[in-house]
Amino acid sequence: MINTIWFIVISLMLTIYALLDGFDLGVGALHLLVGQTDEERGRAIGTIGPVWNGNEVWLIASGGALVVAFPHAYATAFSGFYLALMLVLWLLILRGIGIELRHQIDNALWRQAFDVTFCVASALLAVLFGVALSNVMRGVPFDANGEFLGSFELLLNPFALLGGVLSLILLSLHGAAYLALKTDGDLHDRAWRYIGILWWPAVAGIALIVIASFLVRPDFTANFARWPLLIVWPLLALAALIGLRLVWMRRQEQQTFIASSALIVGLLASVFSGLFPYLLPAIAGSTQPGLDIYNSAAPPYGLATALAIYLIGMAIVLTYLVRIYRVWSGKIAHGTSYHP
Amino acid sequence: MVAEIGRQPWIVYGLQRAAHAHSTNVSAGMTLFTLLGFMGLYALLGMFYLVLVLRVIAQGPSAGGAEGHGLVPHDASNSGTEAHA
Repeated sequence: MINTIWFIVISLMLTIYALLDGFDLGVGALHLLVGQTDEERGRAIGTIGPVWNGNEVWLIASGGALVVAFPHAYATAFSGFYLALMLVLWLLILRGIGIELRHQIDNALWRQAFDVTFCVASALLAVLFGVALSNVMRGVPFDANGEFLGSFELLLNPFALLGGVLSLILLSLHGAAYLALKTDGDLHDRAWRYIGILWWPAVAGIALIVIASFLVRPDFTANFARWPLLIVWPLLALAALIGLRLVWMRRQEQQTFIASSALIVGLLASVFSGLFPYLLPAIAGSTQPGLDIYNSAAPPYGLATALAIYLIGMAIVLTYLVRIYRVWSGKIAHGTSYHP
Repeated sequence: MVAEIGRQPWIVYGLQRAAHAHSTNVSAGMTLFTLLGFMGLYALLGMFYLVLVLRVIAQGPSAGGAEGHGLVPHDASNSGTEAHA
């Protein structure tokens, strides 16, 4: 029971991360396209300026939750995906450098260099997170020791690449919706157009990956048959996808952002529902069964103690998260650029 | 550093040696690659830091920051008359 609760906690934290850092990465991937002048690009970065650092922490916290609750899965996954995770780490560092050093010297080449760093790092991060999640869905080959080695041929399989591209499209869409919510003028109009442009590839990508997931993991629907209530998540994703287009056509900014968020929540919750109780499934032909929430869990006392502390901590975090976004709510002024 | 060097050769004192604690699937080559990668990133960051700090030093103290708090110089003549008021 408590293992299930921890599974839900980690799924929730990863989903919140995707929602929050999702639009940071989306803004980063798009800011060179939607911002034509230096002032506009500065303003685009200014929309995420106060919040991007705190948003990234949700990723660390999800990893931390994995350490606490399912240490075997953490150990196997992080050493198996070693080089890929190091690449993610370096991209996170480069993304942060891109934002923070951009405004330090008033020189066009300096700004351009860090803008490109920020853009490329954000886009690659969006792709790699999609690749990672797809590989978790697909499973990895465990050897006799219960470990695996994630070579690049293994990790960059077609299903994972599809997941990566879809992740980039969806997070860019989410970032565009956030930009439209937080800016006005030309920047807003361009971001608004990009939402419309990105919607079509999003639909195509989601359709493709749903079909592909039936091929890659035919047993994915087992949980939905066992607990029919879980069907609410794919339905939420579908409703959000269609609703997004409708509210976008009606030029409703807040509803568009909510729809984009609901789309991400619906998709991720569907993935986690199908994955349960596995954390890292085994691909066909493995000698070991996959890592699930039972064989990789910490002892029950540890789970119970950690859960109590975590729930208090999450309550505090969610409170100030809401507060921060209330403080920084509204459109940002022209001429704003992020100066920490 | 004191903690890390001091606890050698144990990774968990009395329970596990550091030599037994490495990931079996992560080769020495991968570790070296990522170590060099981190060193390179930090070297880059260090260079940027040096450039920016040297610029700030070269600009000198700003005029606005030198005033304000601290001892406020006042006229000797004024203070004499006010003190006896």
